[in-house]
Amino acid sequence: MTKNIKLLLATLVFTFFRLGSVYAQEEGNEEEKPQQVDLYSLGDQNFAIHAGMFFPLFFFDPTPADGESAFAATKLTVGGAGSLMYEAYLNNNFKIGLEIGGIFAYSPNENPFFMVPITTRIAYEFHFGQFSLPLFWGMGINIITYQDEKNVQFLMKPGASLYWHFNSDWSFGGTLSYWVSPEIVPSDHSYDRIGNFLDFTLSARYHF
Amino acid sequence: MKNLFKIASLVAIFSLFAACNDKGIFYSLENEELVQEKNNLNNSAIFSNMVKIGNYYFGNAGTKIYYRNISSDSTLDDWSELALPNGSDNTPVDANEPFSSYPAVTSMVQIGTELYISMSSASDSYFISGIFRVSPSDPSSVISSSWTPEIKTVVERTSTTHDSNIYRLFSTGTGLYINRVNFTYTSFNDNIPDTIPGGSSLFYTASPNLIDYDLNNTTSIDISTFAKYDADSEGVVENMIAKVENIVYDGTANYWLIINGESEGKLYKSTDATTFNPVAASPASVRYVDIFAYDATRLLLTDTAGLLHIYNGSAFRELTNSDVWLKGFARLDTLGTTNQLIIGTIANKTDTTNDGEGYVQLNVSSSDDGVWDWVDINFSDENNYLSSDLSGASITGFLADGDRLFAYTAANGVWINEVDQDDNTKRIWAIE
Repeated sequence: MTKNIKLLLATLVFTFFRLGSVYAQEEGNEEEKPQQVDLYSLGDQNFAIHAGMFFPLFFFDPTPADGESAFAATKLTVGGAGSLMYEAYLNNNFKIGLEIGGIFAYSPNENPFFMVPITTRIAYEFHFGQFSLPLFWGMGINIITYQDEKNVQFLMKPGASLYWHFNSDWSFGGTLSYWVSPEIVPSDHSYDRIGNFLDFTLSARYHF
Repeated sequence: MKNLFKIASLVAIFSLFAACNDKGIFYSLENEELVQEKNNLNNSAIFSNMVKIGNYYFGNAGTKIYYRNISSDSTLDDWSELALPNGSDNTPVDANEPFSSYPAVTSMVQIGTELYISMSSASDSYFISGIFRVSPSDPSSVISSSWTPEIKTVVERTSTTHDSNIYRLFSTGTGLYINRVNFTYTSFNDNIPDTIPGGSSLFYTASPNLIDYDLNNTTSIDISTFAKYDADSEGVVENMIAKVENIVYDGTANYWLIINGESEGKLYKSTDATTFNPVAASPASVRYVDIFAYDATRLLLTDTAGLLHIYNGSAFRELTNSDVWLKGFARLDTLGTTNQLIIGTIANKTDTTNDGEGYVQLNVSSSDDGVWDWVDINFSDENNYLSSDLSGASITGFLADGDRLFAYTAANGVWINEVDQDDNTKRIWAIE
């Protein structure tokens, strides 16, 4: 055997044993419990943009006249909705944020109806592999304009989103929000109404 | 003190959430009804008067007169433009000078089955004014030469002071009042009259078709003491005689006239159409907007304070409304709402918009006018009136014709109220 052949054999033997030890190590790890890694932590933030459809559901009359239903059609058309949202994570699941948006729809006489909600929100986000499912509750004010009238009202906006993580920066998905917007008329409470609306938007979220 | 601050803060926050308007936006939306657009007429058309002659309605819209058939058939109910006299082919006249482009139709009234109009135009060379009449049984066949001239005056514009005449007509049904207002110009290029008006005269005729350009066959009514403007735009005291605002006839006994001076209106009454006497105790320190002769003894008078005055032949009673003025009256009896009047509102002249408040309704069901009062819910509130632009419009007048009611506005087109074809239990408004 030449010196070169001896060197080649030694290399192969070393390589065999080295690889063997690596495979043995991986087989040994399969028996250990997988370690959970948090996606987010305090200080992580995201910015999201939403655009989609607005669905007027019904008005609720808290003091209906005798024999009359408390529920009435809004007579609005399906409209458009959009919003910008900022959120900050408190830990892997909880986050708080601020959202400002706008919707438009039309009345039977094609008069435009606008609402501009400004809400703070708290959300709990579930994570499933490449997906995350935030459930949120927003509260704030709702600026409403219709013809010459303008109102500022209280607003509750619960909802849920589903995101697919495209990469570590971006995730895409959809958001469903339910609007509960009471309108109080101090001069005559028979005119009080609680607006119930829904919006469904496609969402893009940037993490930083 | 801290608690007080907290309470105040809570109240302030709560008030932020409260609706600012009377009924709330959501309630308004819930009750919004569809307002039909008939597309018979441009929605920006502004009528100053409407009359019905034969099978046609006529509306005076600035420089035009529109007409439409009374039929509800959508193939017949479009408005068309009525051909107007051009001023040169209407003989006999004192000059053949035609009107310049777009002469103004300063008034339009109905006398029997004829339409009377007054027109006026100004060019660099002439001021031309006239009164014409036509029998419009078939408006589509009316051409310029179809109009019979009653009066035509041509004033040449000179470099020295000169006057122009503007005629305004008031009908009693068969008789005609003519208010001739002179505007004074001081130079050739002066397109703004020095004084409004420079002078004012009033004439009456029971035979309107017999007047001529010299106003023969009319009775001159001396209104020189009725009301005056005290100063012109340059502050020179000239004691100008004011133009007549309106003249109405109750159909049986009395003729009523309102005329506004510099700061105060005057109400006059006549029993022979030409001898007018001031009405004692009429509202003072305000100018008048409109009058309506309800019957042989009772008169409704509105003023620039937004008040309605009910005169019963001996005393006035006031009903307050708001800061808008009240103008235009219509009876609702033929519409199925008996013993009710609607009265239009127009924007207060101190406002910068044309926004009025639609119309208000007066309950006149009692024989005792002392209890006449506004009604809370107007005859068409429950339907689509509150959803329409009419409810926020300045209404300049109404025309009630059987089961149909027109309301014409200062900036929101002409509206028609009829029984809903889909639900004959209710009446709805539609824009012409």
